[in-house]
Amino acid sequence: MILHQVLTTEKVPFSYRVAGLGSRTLAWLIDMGVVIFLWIMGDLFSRPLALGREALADALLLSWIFAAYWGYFLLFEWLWNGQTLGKRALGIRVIQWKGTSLTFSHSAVRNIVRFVDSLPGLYAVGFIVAACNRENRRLGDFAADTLVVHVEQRARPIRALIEARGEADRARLSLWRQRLASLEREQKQTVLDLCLRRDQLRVAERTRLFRSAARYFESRLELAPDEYESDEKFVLQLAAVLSEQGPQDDGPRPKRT
Amino acid sequence: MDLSTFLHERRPAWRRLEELLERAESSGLPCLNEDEVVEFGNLYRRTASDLNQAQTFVSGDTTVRFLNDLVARAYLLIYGKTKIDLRGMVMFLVWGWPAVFRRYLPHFLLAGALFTFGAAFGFLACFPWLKDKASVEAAHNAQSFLLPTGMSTIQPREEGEKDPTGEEGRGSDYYAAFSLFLFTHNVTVTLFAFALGITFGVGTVWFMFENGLMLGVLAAIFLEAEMKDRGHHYFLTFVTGIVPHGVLEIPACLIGGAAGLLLAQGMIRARPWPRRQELARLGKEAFLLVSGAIPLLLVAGLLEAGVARAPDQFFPSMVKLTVACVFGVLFLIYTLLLGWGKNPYYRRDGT
Repeated sequence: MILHQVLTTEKVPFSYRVAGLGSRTLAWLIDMGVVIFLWIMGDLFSRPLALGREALADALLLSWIFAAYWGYFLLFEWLWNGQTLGKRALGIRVIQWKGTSLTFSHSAVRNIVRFVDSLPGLYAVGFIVAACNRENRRLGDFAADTLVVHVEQRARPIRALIEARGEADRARLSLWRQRLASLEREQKQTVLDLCLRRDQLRVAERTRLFRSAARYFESRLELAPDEYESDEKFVLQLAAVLSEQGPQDDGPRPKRT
Repeated sequence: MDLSTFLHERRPAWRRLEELLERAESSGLPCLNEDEVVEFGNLYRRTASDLNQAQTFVSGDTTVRFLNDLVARAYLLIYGKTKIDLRGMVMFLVWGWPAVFRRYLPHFLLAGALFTFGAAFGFLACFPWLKDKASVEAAHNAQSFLLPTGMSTIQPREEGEKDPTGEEGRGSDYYAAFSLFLFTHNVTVTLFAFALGITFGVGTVWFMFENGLMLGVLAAIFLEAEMKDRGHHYFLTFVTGIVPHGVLEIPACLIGGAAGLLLAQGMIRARPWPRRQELARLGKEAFLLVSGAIPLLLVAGLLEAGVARAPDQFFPSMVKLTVACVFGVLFLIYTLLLGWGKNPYYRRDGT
């Protein structure tokens, strides 16, 4: 599962799940089915006209084929929240890189560059390009600064975290609270800082820091992580317990930077 | 804050946000009433900050994911699509586009230079400069080599001469149909020139050269025919057949090329900011640039079917050339005189 992280205007990070090549290909197949259906409908409707006025019927059919192919993707993606019929069926949609909906120019650029993506046939260029980058963007996506993501229509229920904990857990929590209270203010602050800023650390550093923190707490407070629990998760839980106690003794609470 | 209290306290707000989201997603934000809109905004901000808190402290992945999806859905709704602004689009084409065109005049001129180079190359290669047999043969070889296979048998015709392909019964239908065909064909060509920019410009450069080449080769064929047979005005026919619409069609094609070169610039040129941003910025500009070519092509399609290809009884050569001059001047007025001092991004949201 590849995530694309976005900052809201309030600087809260959240992420979209990037749509893979499989769902995009399926969506495209459905869309092509719809477009071919439109073409056939156009052909049927131009038949009666062709009896008397052949030239006009041919021209109208030709323009209809042109308009249906280009207009279908362009208008649907513009007016229907970045979704075509196929995309909606697969639960994916096109969004801007910064996480908001498409505008007309995005939709247009994306679909004009489709010319090159579909070269030399059956989307060879687009497919290869999409397979070679993390967010599976084709050339049109690069030019328009867009990407295709999954949209969750139905949110999953939240598993209650604390309520589900048994008596044993509750006992352990109070033990932790007790032990943690013996820490000095700087130490508490350091743990909280470490947890808050963990995303800014490189993986190696992050592992190293959390490991040394975990070892320190193990020896100093005689608390041990659960079996199979990572050092980071252990320290995070300690921090969660620490932060429960509120800012009774420290100054301004650390802010996420 | 305690995790259980966190969940316990906030869950009603999340439920409420979910409810509003479901309604707004199915029938659009306007279906919410005034109070609900305010409530929606507050709930969204609240949930976003909850997400922030959850990402930091809650170890349960599910809560974070739940809040994440909630925020993502609300975010897409709030920063959703802009209104459709047809008036803004028209105003952009009248006032904004000429300014955009002038800003990217160097790109246009470069595309024009490539086109001219192609035309000169095609003409020089395919015109028999010497009268001897070897030279003529070489020119003919070049012609059949450079022209696409379908066109290599092209025969110059003169004004008023009967079309050997037999286009009989030309009514108003025929002209409507033909101009529609030309329009779609030219739009495809122009947009293709734009899209090819994504190949680091290689495709666009080749495409411009190739289009110029065709024109040069055809000019050579018609001029050769006229040289051989002084009594006919093949070349004049060629010129009057091309110029009335070409005066708009060729610039439109070059605009497509200029937009492609702009896109290529976004891919190539180093900037202090990331390439992704530069490409996105110039992609948008290039689209604005190429959007102005569509109305030009509409007019050019009408001119080509109605004037340029019309037989000489309707429009003598001089009329055709006058029409060409008039539209050429109009094009210059449009691109060079309109939209000074206006914001080129006039009501940009609408475009």
